[in-house]
Amino acid sequence: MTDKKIKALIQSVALQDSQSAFKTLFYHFYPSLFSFSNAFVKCRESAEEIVEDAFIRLWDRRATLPQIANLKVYLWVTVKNLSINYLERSGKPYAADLNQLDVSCAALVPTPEDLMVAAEMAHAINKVISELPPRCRIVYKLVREDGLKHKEVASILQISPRTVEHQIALALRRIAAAIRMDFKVSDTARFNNS
Amino acid sequence: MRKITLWTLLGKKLNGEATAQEREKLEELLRGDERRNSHLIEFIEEAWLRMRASHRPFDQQTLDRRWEHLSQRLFSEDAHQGEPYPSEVWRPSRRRRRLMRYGMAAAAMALVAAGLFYAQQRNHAPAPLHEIATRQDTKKHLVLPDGTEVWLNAGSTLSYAETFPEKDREVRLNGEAFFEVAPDARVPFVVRADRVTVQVLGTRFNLRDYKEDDSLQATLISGRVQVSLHDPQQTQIVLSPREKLTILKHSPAEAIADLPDKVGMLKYHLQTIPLNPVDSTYFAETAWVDNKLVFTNASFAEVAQRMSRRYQVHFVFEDPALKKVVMNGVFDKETVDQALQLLGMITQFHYRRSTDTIYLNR
Repeated sequence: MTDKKIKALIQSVALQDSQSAFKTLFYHFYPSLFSFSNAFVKCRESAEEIVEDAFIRLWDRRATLPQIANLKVYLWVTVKNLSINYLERSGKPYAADLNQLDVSCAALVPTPEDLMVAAEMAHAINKVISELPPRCRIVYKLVREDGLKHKEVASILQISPRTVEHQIALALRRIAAAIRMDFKVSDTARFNNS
Repeated sequence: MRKITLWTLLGKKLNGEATAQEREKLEELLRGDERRNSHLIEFIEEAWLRMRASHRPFDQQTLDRRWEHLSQRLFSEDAHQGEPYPSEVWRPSRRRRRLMRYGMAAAAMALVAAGLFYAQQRNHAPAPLHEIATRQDTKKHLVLPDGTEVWLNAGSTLSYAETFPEKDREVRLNGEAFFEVAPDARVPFVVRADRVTVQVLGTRFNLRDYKEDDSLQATLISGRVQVSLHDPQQTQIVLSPREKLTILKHSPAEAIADLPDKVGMLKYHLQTIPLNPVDSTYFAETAWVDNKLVFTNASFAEVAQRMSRRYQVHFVFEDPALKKVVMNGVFDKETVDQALQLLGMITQFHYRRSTDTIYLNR
């Protein structure tokens, strides 16, 4: 969905209380927000509740929505905060510390028609990602899985855009290192000069 | 100075955020680094583009269930008791939902209640409408529940039944609107105006039918539409892209001669709209969507009519000959005075202004 379309839907929700525009936004954002929350709380039912609460807040504040600069950032921040609150309530006192956060990433899989990326390669990359430092992993997740811009990730996590760039660079460097090792073993013919 | 590493640049590129310079810089780094990294980087780019996160995709039923759950909490009557809803528009649907919630246990009762409800609704005919209106000095961009986008020009009204788009996709228009219709082969999109009905299957078109104008215009930009005239013969005209249908409401005597087709009381003609000589990306008929006022081979009378809508002024032609002067042009952010001065470069005239009225003379 384009930003322009999202803006138009927000207008309809804010000015005409449009339930159908709200429904379109729900259908568009629910799956990613759910998986984002679930990556923190690791409990499907709680993640469902959290995302539903986020949408209830959105509806309750619909009149003020046109003032929100970026709906994506607003939704992701709401879900992040609600998820952290949930974790703190259930006895994880450092949940708000990005360096302590244990966020799981979805495994990457090669697209079916693709012969370029072998299964072992995917396995190697996934292993690297699961071993990234927590802060790096959540940045990577927001960029890669939720398709957010670096600036948006920075506002969601309240870190600088430069930190986001560094974390992504770190993830790429580690992926490259793992692949390079993998090449040496399995594909020396093609990458013999690496 | 900050050192930008190859990996930072790659990260930006992969997320579509690298500037042209940054992409060039990356190329440069890779060229100088041929032995160590370039194949590897290529491979990572491929992997990044081709691999997908293995989220279990949400199937439609799960999403539907979640939405049902949420909308129960938000929109059911007792959840928001006493909260003022904007109008009576929502009431039937809330009532219907409540009926649904009685569930299987009270099925018989619910049936009776539903019977009553529908009987009631028949008395209340016509079905409740959503109505969106613009004032004389505003425009609106809206997205209808089916995804169709509508730009509603100033002084216009668009309405549709609450059942839209489940039962049909019919809207009523007074004034002018540009439609970008969401494709849906099963349910045609229908725009009803006083004199015509336009039926479409996913397309972009403009319909202008202001009460005070002498003519109605339907212009198709892309796709295909069928216009049915509300005349005794129910004439149907199919428009192809870039065709404009003009229907004269009062058929002024001098115009009849150029119009070969006589359809009941409605005189119409069909023409291919020309590319605008000033800016070929704008069609005069739809430029208002972008806040531009574009006119191509238009008479001063027409231009004045459209300027009066845009600037909230009234024009008086003290010299009637001025009305027939033909002009081309594009106005964007000009004030009414700037616009008039520009027109003064096309044709000689004087104007004087008293509050909202502008008098035009040679």
